[in-house]
Amino acid sequence: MGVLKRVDRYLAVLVIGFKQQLAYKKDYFISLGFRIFASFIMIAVWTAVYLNSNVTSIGGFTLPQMYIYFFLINAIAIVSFNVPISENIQDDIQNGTITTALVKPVAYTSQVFLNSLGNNLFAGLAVTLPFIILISFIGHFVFTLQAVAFFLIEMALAFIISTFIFFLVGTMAIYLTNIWGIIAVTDSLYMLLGGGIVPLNLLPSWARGIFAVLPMQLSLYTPAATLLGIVSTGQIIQSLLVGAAWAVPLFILSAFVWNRVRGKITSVGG
Amino acid sequence: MEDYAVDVEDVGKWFKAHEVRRSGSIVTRLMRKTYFKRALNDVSFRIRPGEIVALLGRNGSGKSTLIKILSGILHADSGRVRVLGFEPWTQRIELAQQLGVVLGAHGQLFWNLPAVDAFEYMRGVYNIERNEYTRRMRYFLKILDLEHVYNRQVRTMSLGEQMKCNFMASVLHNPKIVFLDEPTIGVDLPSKIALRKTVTELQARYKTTFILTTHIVEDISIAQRVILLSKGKVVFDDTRPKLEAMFGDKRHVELHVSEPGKIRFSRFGRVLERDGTMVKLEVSKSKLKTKSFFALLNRREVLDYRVAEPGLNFILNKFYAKLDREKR
Repeated sequence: MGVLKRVDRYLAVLVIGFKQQLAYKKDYFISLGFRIFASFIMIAVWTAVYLNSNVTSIGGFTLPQMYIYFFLINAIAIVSFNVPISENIQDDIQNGTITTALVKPVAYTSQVFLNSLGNNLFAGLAVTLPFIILISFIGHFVFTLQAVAFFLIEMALAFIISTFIFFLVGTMAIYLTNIWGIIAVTDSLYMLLGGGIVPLNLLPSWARGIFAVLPMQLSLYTPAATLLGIVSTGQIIQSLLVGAAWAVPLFILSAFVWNRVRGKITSVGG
Repeated sequence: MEDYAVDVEDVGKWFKAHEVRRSGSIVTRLMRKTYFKRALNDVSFRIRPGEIVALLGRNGSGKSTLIKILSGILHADSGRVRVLGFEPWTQRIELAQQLGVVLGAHGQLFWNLPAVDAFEYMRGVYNIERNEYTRRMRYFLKILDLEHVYNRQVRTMSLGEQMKCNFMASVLHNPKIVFLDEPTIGVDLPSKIALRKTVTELQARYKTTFILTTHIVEDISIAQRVILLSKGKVVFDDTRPKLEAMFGDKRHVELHVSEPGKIRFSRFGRVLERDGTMVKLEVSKSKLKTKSFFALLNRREVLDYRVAEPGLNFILNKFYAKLDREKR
């Protein structure tokens, strides 16, 4: 099959993911509201910490910087790790809609990936981008071109890693059918290990060492810190290399697991 | 060159199933008993290009499993399957390009988007050339009477409109073979007629092969051939007229009688139904011509009568009952 035909095919799946989100405009405004609300929870916690410790700066963050950090984290999460893949696979298995996907001349894995890319591109443009611009106005930030470029690369790589991780979680639905609990735990772990609850530079060095070799920080802490200009170029590159090193085995593992579980899809049988 | 559109040889499929124990200790009750259920048992048949075949059988007879194996969703545990020359589960993508599958009412559509978005999606996914797409759109929208509907959100459509749009989305790429799973379930009569008409037109125009599973007798009327599955086995594979002829020596006689209590109907045949003054009998063709039967029709109490051939529904029921008796 020609490359152009293949591109046309993939583009169709991507566009429909985008269009589907466009149809759910209200959902996006509600999700935006929840994101702001989620930021306020962390802001309340950290305000209490600052006020009771009588210090003006913790780990290099002043209280207003901490506010900005959590606003940014929640805006970033929508694109970098909030991929709906696990939920989509679970729905496909539970409702039997996987059969419709499996009779298309596009691999199921490609459909899942491209659909979620369409989803998150929409989320990025409709929610994250305006949110970041708003934050930059409020916080009087001027982002450097280099910071923006690194930020975009980080977001792309983070999306790819999250896709594989949530794809692997989603395949569990083939055995377990209902995986809401597993998805919720994975989400929480992502927030914790990625710096969504405590900025990673506040952690003791041994913990930072462990978190630095995990792929989650690339989804939250690194892009936020890049925009805020609190990480060095060296640290950014290191974080990107760690991410790339994770992406390759995660891709291989996803392909391997999918080949193994594909034959097990019986929930649609009968 | 492959002669057959579908070639199935000794296909078997097992499913792992679980049974909950309802007796014994708490521990044994909590433990499920796992066993293997045979969904398909040495199924063999061949379908030529351009045939319309009705795949019939009761719930759980293995129809859906077979359709899923033929479309590459499930793999067979034994035997050989070729659809358009491809082994469906190993060459799924190649086969999918030439395959249309209609499952449920809106499987191919997107609930919150207009149907036209799903058609556009199909155009991209199946690489339909733009001019060809416009031509096919015109053709299908007209024949399925969807011209005023296709721009509307799917969730605002009636079930019949959804079904027709779903069918259209599944055949827009002009597939060589189409599997239809209950294509007219819950659909109003005009939509049913439009769907059947489109199937027969596509078969006549493009020699498209259709395999349809259905419980609706009128759908079967468009099929030239019937394959009947029971407990995962093919129990009948022949033309539709042959199936109809299997119990062809019977006629249904509907009598409207003023005083039904006065006549012993069982003397003339099996009483199928009684409803007030109406009595429905199953009578053998030879019996119809006997003097005693004429005498019955001429009785004062018989106000009116109607003789009809038993419908396909009745024939299928008889067939299933026969299978049940044989099993016992």
